[in-house]
Order: sequence, then structure tokens, then C-alpha cells
Amino acid sequence: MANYYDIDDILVEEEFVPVLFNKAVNGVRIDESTEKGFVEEGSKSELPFWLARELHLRKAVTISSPSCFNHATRVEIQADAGCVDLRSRCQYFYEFGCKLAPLCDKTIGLLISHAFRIRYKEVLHKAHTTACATASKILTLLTKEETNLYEAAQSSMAAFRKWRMGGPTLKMASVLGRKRKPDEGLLLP
Amino acid sequence: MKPYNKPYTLPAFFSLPFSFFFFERRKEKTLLHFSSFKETKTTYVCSLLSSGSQDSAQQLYSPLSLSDFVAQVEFMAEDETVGIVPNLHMEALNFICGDYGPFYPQIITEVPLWLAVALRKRGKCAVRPPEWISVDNLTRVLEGERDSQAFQALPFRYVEISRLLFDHAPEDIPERYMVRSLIEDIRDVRFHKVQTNLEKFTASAVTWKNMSAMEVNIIRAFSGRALQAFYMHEQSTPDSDRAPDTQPQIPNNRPRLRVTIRGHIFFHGLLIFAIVVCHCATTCAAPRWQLLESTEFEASMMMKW
Repeated sequence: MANYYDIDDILVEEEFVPVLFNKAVNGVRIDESTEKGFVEEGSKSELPFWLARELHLRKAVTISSPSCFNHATRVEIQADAGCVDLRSRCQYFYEFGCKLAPLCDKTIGLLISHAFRIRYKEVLHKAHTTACATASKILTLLTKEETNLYEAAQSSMAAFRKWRMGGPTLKMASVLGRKRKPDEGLLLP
Repeated sequence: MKPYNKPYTLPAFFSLPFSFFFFERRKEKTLLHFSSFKETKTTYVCSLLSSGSQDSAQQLYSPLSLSDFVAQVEFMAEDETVGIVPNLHMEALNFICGDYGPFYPQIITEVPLWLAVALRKRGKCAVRPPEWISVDNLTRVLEGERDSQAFQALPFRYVEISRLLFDHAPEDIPERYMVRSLIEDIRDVRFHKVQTNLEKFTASAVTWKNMSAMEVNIIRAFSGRALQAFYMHEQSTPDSDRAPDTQPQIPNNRPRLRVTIRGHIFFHGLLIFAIVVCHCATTCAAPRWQLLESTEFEASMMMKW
């Protein structure tokens, strides 16, 4: 389903995951500050997901769950998924979770599907009812996918309203729109 | 009523401006019969083209292009037939989409809505509103909507038809203020119902009968995305500890959405998803769209992965 050129799909894989090296790797540096030209066995680091997955398949590293799927977040989601600020934790919470679940922790799958089910209802309610003024407050909590959903609903609703209001409608007579001058009455005899 | 009076059937993947182009051709052709209609023709074509180009711009820059199909939905509705009482004598009109007429004064003739509107604008006819536009019927429908969870039977394009009639032939509708407010009420109640229904679906079987074209169009972009998300999350959930669903599960564990629409066949599936079946079996194949038709006039579309 994922398109090779899908920008969202690319950005999802840019997310960093904590890894533990199972093997010593020669000729690479994790970052510029390290003096040694190799990575020791058992060292911990953070790698982008696309690299970590390839290394994981070659059994070079073990992936552990990143901070956006930690215990605190789980507790928060179980308490009230609708109010959790997933946007600041991870823009691509659901997609990242889907990709990560088979590699490190199977329970992530359950977590995201639970969270989405609750938050979907919130989005549904707010997308069709709230005016644009209050929208920005809700949008700060939503992930990319939820924002897309929200905007899809909003724009189809707006398009429908526009269509309904369009066409020949009643126009105000030119006399009615005019403001009466304050001294107009005084001039009359 | 003929279910098909379209000269061109377009596959679903046709982009909006392109399909409009084809439809333009048809209207142009038909309108060329009237030399006096030229002015309308150009304005009409311009308005449609401008909305079309806006859509194509949206398609290029945002993923939300699906939502702006309202004009197209209205365009489809203009092909529904309606009775008119002409007050002029005119020979039969031979169009690509069918032959209408001949027109005699005071003799009722069935014509498509767009032709009726064009004639009505020039004061050449009076429109006879369809039977369902009556205070009695609409009151009954509104009560039915309020009492039960199911959608009441209304014409598939009742929103668009009533809107067109109210815009162009308001004098021809008896008790129009009452009728208008009744239709507005019905639409509000029904849309509220759609929302409560949307809350319930969780990537399994959902059947809603009698939804209208405009209602489907409003939720299409949203529900399509939501279903995809649900499907994706279900894929990543381990099968053994899948949360028990409130909706009945299909034996082979395929998540399904099924919206059944009675009424007019929707001939190309662009505007509607009627049955979206997400297949778990094939994993990463490109989505293929396929149009099915069954006996009770339900257009169904399968989305395969």
C-alpha cells in the first residue's frame, strides 16, 4: 500500500529509534564526537528507523521501543486517549507504530489501534461541528494522519455548505444597506 | 425512468476536469440546437470549467481533492427526469443522451432536469415537481427519520433535485416554504444519523440502506481515510490477542464496509464507495477498482489490496 515516493512514508522512516549493537562494527562512527573509528559491541545509540530496520534484519542490532511508546504514554493513552498530545511525541504515531510493531514490541499494535479507535471518535465529532476558530486548539494535539482526516471532513463539509449557499439567492435592496446620516432627520421640516 | 441515459461512461480513475470536458461536449452538443441558448451555454461552461480547474489544482497540491466533488454530484443529478408543462410548440429534440419532445403547449413532457431548468429560465415551461415533494409525504418521512434508526426511502438525489427546483422554479412548487423547511429538517436529521453511524464503525461490516448521493459525498473523503487507517492498524495487531469487536466478524476475518444505496444506479464509482472490501490476502498490490452491480440496484465497488 505504501508508495515508494510517498513523502509521509519517507518521513516516518526518518524517526529515530534506540538500538543496542549486538556486534562490533568496524569503520563507522555513530557521531563525529567519538574518537574511535568503530562501534563496540553492546553500545547503545539512536539510529533512524530505515537504518535500524536493515541492521535488525542482519541481526546486528536490537531495537527497543522509542520514547513515544514508553510506559508513561501508554498510561496516558489508557486514561484518556482523546487528550494526549501525540503530535509533540511523534508526528507519525500510527504509521511509525505499525512499522515498529513487528520488529520490537508486538503490544504497540494493540496500543495504536486502541488509541486510534478512541481518538477517531473525537476527530469525527469535532470535524463536523466545530467552527474554524476553535479548530487550531484541537489541531495541536492531532498527529499527521488525524489532521488529514480532520481536514478531509472539514473541507467536504465546507464544500457542501458553499454549494448550498451558492446560486441565485435573495439580495439586499440597496436602500436597506445604507446608513442613515445622523443629521438627516434634523433637516426635514 | 431510464437508469442509463449517459452518452459516455467513464472509468472511475478519470480526473475531474477531464470528465467535465466530456460532459461539456454533451451539453454543448445539446444546447447547440437552441441558437438563443448560446449565452447560457458559455456562462455555464465557464462556471463548470473554473470549478474544474480549481479541482485540478487541488489534486496536484493537496490530498483532499476528493472533497470537492459537490459540483459533480449536482451535475449528475441534472440527468434525472422531471415533468414539464411547456407553453410553446417545438419539435422533438434529439440529443446524444436521448430524444425528448415534441413539445406541445399544456401537454406534460418528461425531460432531464437540466433541460427543464434551461427552459424554465426562459419562461417556456412550468416544472411539475416530483410526487415526493409534497408536504404530506415529507412530513411522513421526517417523522420516520426521527422515530427510527434506519434511513427512510427518499430519492437518491433528493438534496440536489430539491435545491435545483428551489433555485430555478420556486413558483412551481406548492407550499414551497413549508416544503423547503421540511427538506432542510430531513437533511439535518439524516446527517446527524450518518454521524452517529460513523462513530460505530470499526473496520468491520456496516450496512446503511437508503443513503443519498450528497450524504455519501460529504463523508466520502473522511470515511475512506478512516477505513484505511483502521485496516492498517488491524494489520499490525497480532492476531492472537486481537481485541474482540462489537461488530459481527466475517468468518475469513476481512474488514468490510458496506453501504447499500437503493435507487438509481451510480454508474461510475467515482462519487461513491458502496462496498469497500479490504482484502487481507494480498498484501502490497496496487489498489484495483472494480464496479459490480447487483439486483437491487446497488452500485458496489471493491477496493482490493
